[in-house]
Amino acid sequence: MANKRIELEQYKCYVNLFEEEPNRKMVRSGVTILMVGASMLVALVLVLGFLSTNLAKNPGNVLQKPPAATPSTPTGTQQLPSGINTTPVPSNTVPVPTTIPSTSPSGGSVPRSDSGRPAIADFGGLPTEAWSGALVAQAAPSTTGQVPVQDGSTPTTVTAPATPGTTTTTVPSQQTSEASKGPAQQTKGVGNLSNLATKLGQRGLQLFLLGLTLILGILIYMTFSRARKAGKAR
Amino acid sequence: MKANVIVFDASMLILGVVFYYGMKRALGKSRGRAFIVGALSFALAIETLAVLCGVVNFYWYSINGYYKHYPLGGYIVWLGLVPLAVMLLFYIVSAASYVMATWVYRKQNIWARSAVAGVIAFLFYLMIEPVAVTNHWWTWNAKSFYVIDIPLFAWLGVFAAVFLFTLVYQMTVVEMSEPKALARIEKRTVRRWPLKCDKAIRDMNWGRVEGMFAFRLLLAYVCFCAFMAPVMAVLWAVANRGQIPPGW
Repeated sequence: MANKRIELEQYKCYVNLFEEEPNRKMVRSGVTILMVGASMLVALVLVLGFLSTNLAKNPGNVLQKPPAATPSTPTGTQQLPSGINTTPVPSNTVPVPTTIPSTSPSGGSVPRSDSGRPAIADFGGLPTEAWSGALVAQAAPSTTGQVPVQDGSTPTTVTAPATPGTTTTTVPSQQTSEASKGPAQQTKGVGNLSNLATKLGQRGLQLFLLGLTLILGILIYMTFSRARKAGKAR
Repeated sequence: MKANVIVFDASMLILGVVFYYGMKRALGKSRGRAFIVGALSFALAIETLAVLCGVVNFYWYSINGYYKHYPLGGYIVWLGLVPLAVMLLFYIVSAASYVMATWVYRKQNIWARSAVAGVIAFLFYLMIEPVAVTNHWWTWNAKSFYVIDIPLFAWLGVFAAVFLFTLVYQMTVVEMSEPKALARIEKRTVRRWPLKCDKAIRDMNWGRVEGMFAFRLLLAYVCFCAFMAPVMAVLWAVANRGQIPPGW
């Protein structure tokens, strides 16, 4: 009796793969579904690749940070983290629009800095290096200070906003200059993809994707046709 | 025009369901389930290690305001440090590659079929990677030799990962074979504990077969890391692009 119970308990988690083996028709339909799914994936990537060709032409796009979140500013007096109260803008004051220099990569030509590499400021429409309190920092009075540097490089005075709890620090000039350069200038070899995208009459990437689509399409068709033949065979 | 991350995320979720349904029909319910669980776990282990080592970056979409900037702009589901969509992509590509290799090269042995599956997966990723990098679905950040802004080790890694995964899957779940070298290791380790079973895989119940599959995937993961470490070191030495300094 005990043996029988153990046997039944074992049977509970036993899967007979031969019984579970799907029949030929079901296998064929499964392979068809998979190949349709694979075709959908290839088509999706092809379409998205064509749509993003303009972005790919920009050499600095790969290392571009996503735009920072725009803080929602409620109307009226706003309490800032630093304790500064801002007064609301009078209704008769005409706001002066701020022009943000933006270069669209759609043209294919990317402005470059003196070193020949694309400048970080030209990578996108929005300021990518802005931190959340940047506007407050611009408005607040500033204090300057100088701290001796230990590693022998030229000390650089860094201006910091005079807000409570903010410390004034000085970093070596080498570091500040690197930070101002941006990642695309700090790292070399960026923009391989843009070379491909701008080749062959600006259609290099599209032709590359089309070629791969063709190869994968042939493989998908071969799989599909073999599954169909196997389904028909007796 | 930019294809937002949400496009990729939603597409992978839909295609993941389609592929799971197709695999269930083509392989059977239990084998289909073993494939998806194995592929997601294997991809999770590899991607988590890559993120921890700073090779690939998904953090932008969680901490840099990208998520807040667009409505539902970032990845929706995360498993630790890695978005689910990235693991689903690995599952989709490995499933498609495995089925294509099995049907196109039916009479070959499992090593050859797994190698073909790896090559097909490489072709898929050759198409996906430039689009992904352009649209910032993920960012490669390692000192290495880059081809079309993708590190060369990523291509090799895709081949190795899919090759090892499909090899282990076919060896354990489909053909249930036991190579001598592997049997010796298993006898000393997993067969003693937790399986406590000396039977051949063919005679095991399904739960134990799954246990063997998990153990062999772990071995495959170790092999993958052992293969990738010297490759990355060599490519680091001949790098044509540096690493982005932290904190930029």
